[in-house]
Amino acid sequence: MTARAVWEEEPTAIGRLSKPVVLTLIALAVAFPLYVVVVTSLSSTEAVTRAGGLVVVPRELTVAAYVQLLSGGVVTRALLISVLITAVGTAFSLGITVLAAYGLSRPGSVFHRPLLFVVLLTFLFGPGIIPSYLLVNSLGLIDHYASLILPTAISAFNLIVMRSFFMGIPGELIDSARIDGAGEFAILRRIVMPLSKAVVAVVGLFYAVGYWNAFFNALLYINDNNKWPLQMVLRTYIVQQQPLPTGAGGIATGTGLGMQPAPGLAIKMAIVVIAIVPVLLVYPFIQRHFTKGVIIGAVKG
Amino acid sequence: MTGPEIGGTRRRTFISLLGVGAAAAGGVTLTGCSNSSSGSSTSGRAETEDKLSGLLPKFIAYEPVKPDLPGENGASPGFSHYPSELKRAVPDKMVPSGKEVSAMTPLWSPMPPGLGKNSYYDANNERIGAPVRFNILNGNDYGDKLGPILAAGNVPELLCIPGWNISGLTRFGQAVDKLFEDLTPYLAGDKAAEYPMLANLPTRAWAYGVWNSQLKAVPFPSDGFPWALFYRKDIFDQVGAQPPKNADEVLALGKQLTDAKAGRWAFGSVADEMARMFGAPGSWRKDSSGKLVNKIETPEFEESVAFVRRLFQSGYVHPEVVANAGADENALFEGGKFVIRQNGLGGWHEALQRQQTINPKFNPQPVMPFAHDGGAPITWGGDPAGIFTFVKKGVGEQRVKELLGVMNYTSAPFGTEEYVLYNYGVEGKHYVKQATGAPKLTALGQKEVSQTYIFLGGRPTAITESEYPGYVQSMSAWQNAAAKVREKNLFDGIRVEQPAKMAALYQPFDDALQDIFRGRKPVSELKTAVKQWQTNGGNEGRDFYAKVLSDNGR
Amino acid sequence: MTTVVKPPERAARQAAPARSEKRSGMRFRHRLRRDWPLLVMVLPVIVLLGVFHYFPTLGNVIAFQDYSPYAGIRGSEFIGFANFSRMFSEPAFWRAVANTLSITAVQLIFFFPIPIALALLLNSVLSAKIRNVVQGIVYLPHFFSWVLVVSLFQQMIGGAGLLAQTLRDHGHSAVDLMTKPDTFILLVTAQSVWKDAGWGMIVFLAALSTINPALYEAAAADGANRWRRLWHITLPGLRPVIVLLLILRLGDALTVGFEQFILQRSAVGGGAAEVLDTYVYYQGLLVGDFGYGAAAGLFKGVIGLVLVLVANRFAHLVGEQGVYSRS
Repeated sequence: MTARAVWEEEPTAIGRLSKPVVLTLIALAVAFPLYVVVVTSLSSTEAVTRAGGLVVVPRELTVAAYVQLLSGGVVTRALLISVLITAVGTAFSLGITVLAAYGLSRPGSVFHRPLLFVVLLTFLFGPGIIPSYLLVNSLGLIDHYASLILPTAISAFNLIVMRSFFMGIPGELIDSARIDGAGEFAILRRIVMPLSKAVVAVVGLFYAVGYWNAFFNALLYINDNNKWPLQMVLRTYIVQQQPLPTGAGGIATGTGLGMQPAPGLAIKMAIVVIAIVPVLLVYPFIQRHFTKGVIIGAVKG
Repeated sequence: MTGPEIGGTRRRTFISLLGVGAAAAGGVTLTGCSNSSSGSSTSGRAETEDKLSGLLPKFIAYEPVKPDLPGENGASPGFSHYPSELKRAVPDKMVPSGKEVSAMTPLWSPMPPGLGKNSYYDANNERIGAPVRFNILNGNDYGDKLGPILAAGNVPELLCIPGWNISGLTRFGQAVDKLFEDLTPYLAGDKAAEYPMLANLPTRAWAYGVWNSQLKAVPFPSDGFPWALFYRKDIFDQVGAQPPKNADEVLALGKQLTDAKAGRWAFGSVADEMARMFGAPGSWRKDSSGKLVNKIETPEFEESVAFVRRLFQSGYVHPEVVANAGADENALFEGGKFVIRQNGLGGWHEALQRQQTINPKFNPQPVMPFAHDGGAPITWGGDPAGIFTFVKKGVGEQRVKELLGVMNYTSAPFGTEEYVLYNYGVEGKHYVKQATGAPKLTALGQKEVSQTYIFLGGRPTAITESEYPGYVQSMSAWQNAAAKVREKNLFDGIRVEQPAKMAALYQPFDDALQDIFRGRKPVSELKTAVKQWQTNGGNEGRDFYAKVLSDNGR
Repeated sequence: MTTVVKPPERAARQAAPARSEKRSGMRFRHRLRRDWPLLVMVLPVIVLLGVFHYFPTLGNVIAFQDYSPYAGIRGSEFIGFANFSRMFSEPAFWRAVANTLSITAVQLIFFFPIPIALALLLNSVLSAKIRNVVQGIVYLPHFFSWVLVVSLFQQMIGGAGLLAQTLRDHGHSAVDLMTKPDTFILLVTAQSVWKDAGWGMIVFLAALSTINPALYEAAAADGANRWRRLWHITLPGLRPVIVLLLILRLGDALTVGFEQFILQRSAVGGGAAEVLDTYVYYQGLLVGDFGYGAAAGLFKGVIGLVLVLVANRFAHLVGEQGVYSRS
C-alpha cells in the first residue's frame, strides 16, 4: 500500500517538498485547537481561572470534569440508551435508505422520478416544531424511544448521495445478473452492496453521528428523565455554571454548596471530547472501505 | 438552536433595554395576552389595578427567624448567620390522597437520579405526602418545549413557566385560559389562610400572578434589582484604585486598569449600568407635560451612549466582550482579565462559591449607586415576580387543593425545616453543617440534591449566604442603598404585556446601538435609530402604555 | 432567466439517450410488472416521509394565517399573503437575503472546492500511515459547537488573542481580525472551512475509492502524466458527486448558518452579520410570530427549489445526471 505503483512516475521535487508542508499545516490547524480542548477539559478550576478561558499551557491536570460527568448515577443509563438508540436507529435508517436508494437508482423504472422528487422536496421544505410535536403526541409516541428514531430516520441528503453512488455502478453488471434471473433484492445484496461498501459506511457514519449527538427530539418527546439519552443529560451540565436570567434573582443555585465544582469550561470541553471519542473509535473501520479497486475486483471475479 | 451562552446574554440585554421595569423579566416581554373574545390580537394587555383587589390573597406574615439586617424600601432582609433552630412550618401532609403529582420545572444543574432512586426526593415527598414526579429540563432549553406542550395541551399538574420564556409564547393569555385552573376561588382574600406559606408571599408578587382577571399562578418573588456594577476589590486594592463616584472616575479607571500587554482590560459589559449612571429611566418616564418617554428617547440615554462609545474607542473594554456575544464573562472576570462589569445580583455568591477554594483573595464588590455628575443617583426597579407556577385545569377541586398544598410546602421560607429539606435534603445524610452553620452537601447530597422543588411556588427574597464572610452585610448595605434611590416605577403593581410589535423593534435598535459603541456609526446616528423605533411601532407602544396608565388612573 | 434556459433545455431533450425513450415507450403495465420490487423497496421511506415529514409540513399553512397555537390551524384566521407582503416590504429582509446569498457565493468559491482538494491531496499521499493519521483527525472540528469555534478563533486572532498579544509584546499595535465588517464574509468562510472541510472530505474519499485503478495504469502506459491523469480520470470519476453536492448546496442557498452569526453580530454589526435565519429568528420566532417564521421558511424552500431545478437542468446540459435524471 505504501509503495508507489510501478506505473507511477517519481514525485517532482516541488511535490516532495510542498506536500509534507501542506499536510503538516493542515494537521496543525486541527490538532492544536483539539489539544487546547483536551487540555482545558483536563484542567483544574484554578488553571481555567488563571487562563481566563481556554487553557493552552497544561498545569495541574485533573480528570475531575470527567469524573463529575460520568459518576452521576444517571449517566451510565443514559449512555446505554444512547448506544442502543444509535445502533438501532443507524441500522434502521441505513437499511431503508439503502433499499430506497437502490429502488430509485434503476434508470427508467416506473415512478422513480416523482418518488425521487418526493424525497428531494423534504430537503427543501420542513415542518415546524409544533406540528411535529402534535403529530408525535397524537400517535402516542411521547416517552417512547421510537420518537427518537422515526421522525428523523430519513435524511434526503444521505439518500440522494447514496443513490448517486449506486448509479455509478456499471449497468452491465446489473443487467447480466438480471439476465441470469436474479431478482432486485438479490441484485442489491449480491452485486450492489459489495461494490458500495464505502458509501454505505459513510452514510452509516452520518446517520450514527446524527443519532449520537441528537438531543432535540429527546428534549421534545421524552418527558421521563429516566429515558434520556446521553446528550440530554450532558446538556444539564453545560448550564450548571451559568448565571440565571435576570428576574430569577434570589434563587440560590446551591447544588454545588461546599463542594469543589469542576470548572464549567472544563466540563464543556469534556463534553466535546465525549462527543468525539465514539467517532474516533468508529472512523478507522469506515476508513478501511476507502481503498481503491473494489469495482475492478468484482468485475473480474 | 441558540447556544446556551447566547440564550443567557441575549435574554439579559433584550430584557433590560426596552420594557417596563427595566430588566424585570416577568411581564415585560409578554406578548398578546388576551382576556376577550378577540383572541387573535397580538396587541399588548395589562391587568388593571382596581380589578386586582378582590382576587389577591390576604397577606399574613410568617417569620420563622428575624433578620438581623432588615431590608428597607423593598430591599431583601439579610440573615448574617444560619439559624440554629428550625421551625416546622407545615405540620401536616398536604396531599391526603397520596396520589403522584406530575410537575415540570427548569433546572440549572446536572440531572439528579429520578424518582425511586433518589433518597432526597423520597425525604421531601414523605413530608409532602405524595411522590412528585419531576419532568426536568435544563433552563436554556425550557422555552423550546413549552411552546409545543402548551399547543398540544399536554401539560403536567404543576407547570413552572419563567417569565422570560413567555416572550416566545405568542398569545400566552389564550393558553392560560384554556389550560390552567383559576385559583381565585381557592386563594382570594382570607381563603389563602389555609395555605400559610402562600399567604406569606408579598401582595405585589401575587398581582403578577393574575391573567385575564383571574388569579392563575403562584408567583416566585424576586428582589427586582436588574443590575449592579461589580468590581474586583482585590485587584483594585493591589493597584490602589477606588470604586468610581462619577463618570470621570469611570473613565479614569479605564485608563488606570487597562493594561493590554498584561492581558488586562478595565471593563466587561457595562452599558446598562452606564445608562443608569447618567440617570436614564429603566423603561418609561413621564416628561413635564405628562407624556410618556422611553428610556432610549431621553437625553440622558444619549449621553450614556456617547460615554460608552468612549470606553470602547479608548480600548478599555475587553476585546472578547467587544467581539463575541458568547464570551464567558464569568471566566474573564474571575480570571482578572477585566475588573469591572455589570451583572445580576445572583451572580455574586455564585462567583464566590466557584472561587472560594481556589482564590481566597477573590473579592467582587458592588459599586454603591452613583450618578455621572456625582449628584443624587437613581437605580432601576424590576418586577416583583419573574417565575410562575400554574395548576392544570380540570383536575377537580380536591386535587387543586392538594396541588396548592404541595406549593405551600415548597414555599416555606428561610428558617424552616421545609426550606432546608427541599434545598439541601436531610442533615447528616445529604448535608452536614459547617462551622459557620452553613450546610455543606455530602457526596450523596451532591449526587441527589437538585433545585427542582424551589421552582414550584416561591418564597420571599432573603440574603442568606453567610458562609462567605462579609457577603450578607455587603449585599444588604448595597440593596438598602439601591432601594432607597430606586426610581418610581410608573407601572408598579401592574403586569404589562408588551405588544409583539414592540418586541420586534428591539433588534434593529440594538444593532444601531452596538454600531455606535464600536465606532462604526457616529453618535448622531442614535437619533435616526430612535426615530425609526418610534415610527415602526414605538409610538404605538407609547399609546398603549399611556392607556394602561390612564386605565389605572395614574 | 427563462429565455436563457429554454434553448439549452430543448437541446438537452434532443440529446436524451435513446435508452430512456425506449423504456418510457414500454407499456405502463409491463413496466409496473417489471419494477414493482423496486417500488416495494422505496415504500418504507415514502411512508415514513409521508407520516413524519409531509403531514406536519402541512402545518406551514400558518404562513397564510394570523396563527395562534391555542386556537390551532382550524381556529386561526386566514390572512392571505399578509405575512409575505410584510416580509417583502421590509428593507431589512432584503438586506438579510442579499447578505445570505453573497455568503453562499463566497462559500461556493472558497469553501466548496476545499474538501475535494483535501480528498485528492490525501489520496495522493503514499504513506498509508500518514494518510490515515491526517484523515483520522482532519474532520474532528465538525464536532465543535459554534460557540467553541468562535472562542477558538478569538483566542488565536481576536483582540486579546495569541496574534494580538504577540504583536503587542513586540511593540507593534495589535490587529483584531474579528471586528472588521468588510472582511467578515471571509472570516465566517474561514471558520466554516476550518470546521467542516474535513467532514465534507469524507464523501469524496468514498467517491475516490470507486474509481477503477486500472484506468490509471492504462493512462500511465499511454504516457499521461499525473496532472493529465487527475484531469482525465480522477475528476471525471468524482464529477457526479461534485455536481450532486453542488446542486444540493444551491438548494440550501439561503441557509448559511445561525449561531455563528448571532455570536459575532455585535462584533461587526447587524449590517454585515444579518442573514436570513437570524432575521427570521429576531422578527418571527423570538417574538412568537410563527406565521411570519413559516412564511420565511416557505420563501427559502421555493427559492431553493428554483435553484435546484435550474442547476439540475444545467447539469443535464453538460451531460451530468444531477439530482435526478431526465427520464
